[in-house]
Amino acid sequence: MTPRPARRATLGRVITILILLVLAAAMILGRPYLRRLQRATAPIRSERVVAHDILLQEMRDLARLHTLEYRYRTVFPFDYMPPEISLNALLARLRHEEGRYHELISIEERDYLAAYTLVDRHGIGSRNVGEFLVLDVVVSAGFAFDSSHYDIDRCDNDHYDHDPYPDEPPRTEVGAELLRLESSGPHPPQTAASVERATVTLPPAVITQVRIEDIDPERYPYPEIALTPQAYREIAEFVRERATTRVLGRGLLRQAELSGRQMIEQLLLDAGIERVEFAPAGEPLYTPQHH
Amino acid sequence: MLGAVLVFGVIAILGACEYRSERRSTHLRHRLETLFELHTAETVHRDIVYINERREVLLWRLLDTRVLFSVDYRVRAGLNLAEGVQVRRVPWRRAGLQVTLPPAKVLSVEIDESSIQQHLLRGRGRRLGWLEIAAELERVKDRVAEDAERYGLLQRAEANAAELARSVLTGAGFEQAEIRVRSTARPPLRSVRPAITGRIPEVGRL
Repeated sequence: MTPRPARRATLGRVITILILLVLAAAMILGRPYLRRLQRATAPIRSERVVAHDILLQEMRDLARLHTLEYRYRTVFPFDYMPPEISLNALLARLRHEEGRYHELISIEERDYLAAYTLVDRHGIGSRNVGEFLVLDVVVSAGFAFDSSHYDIDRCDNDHYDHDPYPDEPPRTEVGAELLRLESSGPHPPQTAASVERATVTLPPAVITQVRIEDIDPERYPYPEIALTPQAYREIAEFVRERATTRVLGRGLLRQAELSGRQMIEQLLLDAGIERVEFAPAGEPLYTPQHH
Repeated sequence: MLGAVLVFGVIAILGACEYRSERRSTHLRHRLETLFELHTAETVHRDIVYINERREVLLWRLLDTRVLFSVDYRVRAGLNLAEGVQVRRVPWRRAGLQVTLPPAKVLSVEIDESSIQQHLLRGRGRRLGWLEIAAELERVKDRVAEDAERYGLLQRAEANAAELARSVLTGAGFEQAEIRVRSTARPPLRSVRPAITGRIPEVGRL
């Protein structure tokens, strides 16, 4: 027979183990509730909810050959508000002098006022913090061949299951005028290698795209700036509107045309054509919208 | 003794002051680059973004910022002609050529900032920074591009490029030009209707 103290000790151990087991089970099963309790009673609580809902809106056809990309960095608002322009002097001139608005102030001063309006409206640097936003502007130039547009809403789904593009085949306005081939043999030439001379007529080079490169926070080394989406939109549009005039003076289109010619020439020479010539540029086929 | 105490005091004070110098640099970009990209198709995806940030200290709400806005992503696809265009003769066909184009790929996924429409802005405490918002937009770009591919953007870009090449060669007298595109593995296509009515939600709690 086991002595009484020894039995008590065994019973104590069993009870301890049972309590531990019950506690462990409670901790495992009640974990979500414990977390919720902990979150509700935590002295400092922080939560962020982010939701996205993305829908495909439309699919469009393009026909643009990009041959040159000019990329530059700009600082809003300081690039548009140089210290040598005085706001007070500018406003005084507008108040007291007679004449049309565009005659009284220069383009730089107009940009200054527009930038100042944006800064004031959106409270940028309102606490004398000196906030700024660094944006990369990308201007692409090349040749626009087409303006065809395809709206996915007009597409019949039943047809789409069999053929993704049933209703409208891609339309191009590039025809016989772009490339003319001459050979001493039969016409049309039998092969590219039998072509003696190719005459290429390219449309004039145009700005094919102007865009503000999206900010990737992981690679953006400057301080954060408090901006609403609306403020960002207005700043980006302000910068983009001034991008085209800024780069056109740098001979971008001429350079884009030259690059395009060199590439097309190389392509045709690689194809076996003996000589490539370029006819004077024709009328623009399409003036693209800047995006 | 006094000197030792002073020295010890100065060292202690200096040790308590933290001096941090962080240099972050980025390449200054101001460059001109030649390309040979043929953009032939694009998709536009609309995203409705909701961000709510809350912070409480001892049940006292210090921060509660909500912003709801919509924005378009543009996914552009086409051919990088610098990857090589092969032209071969087809001897058994009169005026026959075989042109092999590089496969189409997604050339850019960009936010169309002019499409931003701000629907709601409520806030107590600090305002959200643009970098925080941009980070959220950046996070979904890969999925937007993947989605565009599933709806046939690349196939469409290739079809358009082939049509353009055929148009040029036909005009030059090569009526029998055969345009091919170097094959590449693609995800299966989706039908269009679910894309318009469906949704791709992502709700994350941080």
